Amino acid sequence: MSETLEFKVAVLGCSGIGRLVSTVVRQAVYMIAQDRPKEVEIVGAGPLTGNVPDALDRARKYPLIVIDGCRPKCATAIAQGKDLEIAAAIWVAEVAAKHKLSIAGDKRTELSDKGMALARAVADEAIAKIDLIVAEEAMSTL
Amino acid sequence: MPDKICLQPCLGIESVESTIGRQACYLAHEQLLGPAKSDLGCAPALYADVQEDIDFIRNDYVVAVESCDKRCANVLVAEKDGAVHATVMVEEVLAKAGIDAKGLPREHLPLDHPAVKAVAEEIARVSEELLSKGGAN
Repeated sequence: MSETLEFKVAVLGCSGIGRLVSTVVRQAVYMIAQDRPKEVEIVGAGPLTGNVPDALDRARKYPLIVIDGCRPKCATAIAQGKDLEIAAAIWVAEVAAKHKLSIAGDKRTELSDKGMALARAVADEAIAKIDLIVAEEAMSTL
Repeated sequence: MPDKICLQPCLGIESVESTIGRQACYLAHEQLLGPAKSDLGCAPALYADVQEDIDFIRNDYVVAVESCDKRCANVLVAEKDGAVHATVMVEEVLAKAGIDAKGLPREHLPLDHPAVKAVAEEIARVSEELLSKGGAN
């Protein structure tokens, strides 16, 4: 990827704790951060729900991608509740269906290869959206 | 009088301390206290007004597990008109146990990692104290 210093994409995963999919989301967010370190700003759900100014500023400054784990879609709810504009949203169930991946039997405390495969698929979906947003921004400045 | 503990971690994602706190809550909930004595409070779900999580902070003693001094779990519980009965600070527990978190991966730590065990044991200790004293600490 190009050397993008000023323009980034913010990523908010639900990062919950109760359900297995929340662990999948958390791992996906780390994969995104590792694969696109210069393009991405990770914003934690915890700091947003805790009204940490720096987290709110970073989520407002950049286009925001939200990743939801289970059905209440809490990352989306947080973004909406904090008046953050959502550039793109990813729901783990849609990614699992699209790639025919199951995580049944996996553990929320430590993902096996099955859970990590779904996390990889979620990360790849997000990265495709991030790359598009970054490319659109780059094109708009030419 | 409540007979369960709501374990309410901050659920940050950027620091290793937040990962330790999250994993410690799993260990405390699943093994040390057990599901009969504890519930796992989910910060995003509480923010989104998921009824189960609202019920946890209304009906249980709440033990917040904070990874830094911003105390996000305390802020959220207060915002949802709940009360935090005790707070476990991950950094303080690690310092007391002589564990340096620097260099540990933020992505994941197993439940048998010493840092996770130290925090989980403190969560369990504080929780048992609340249950035995009826929240008067």
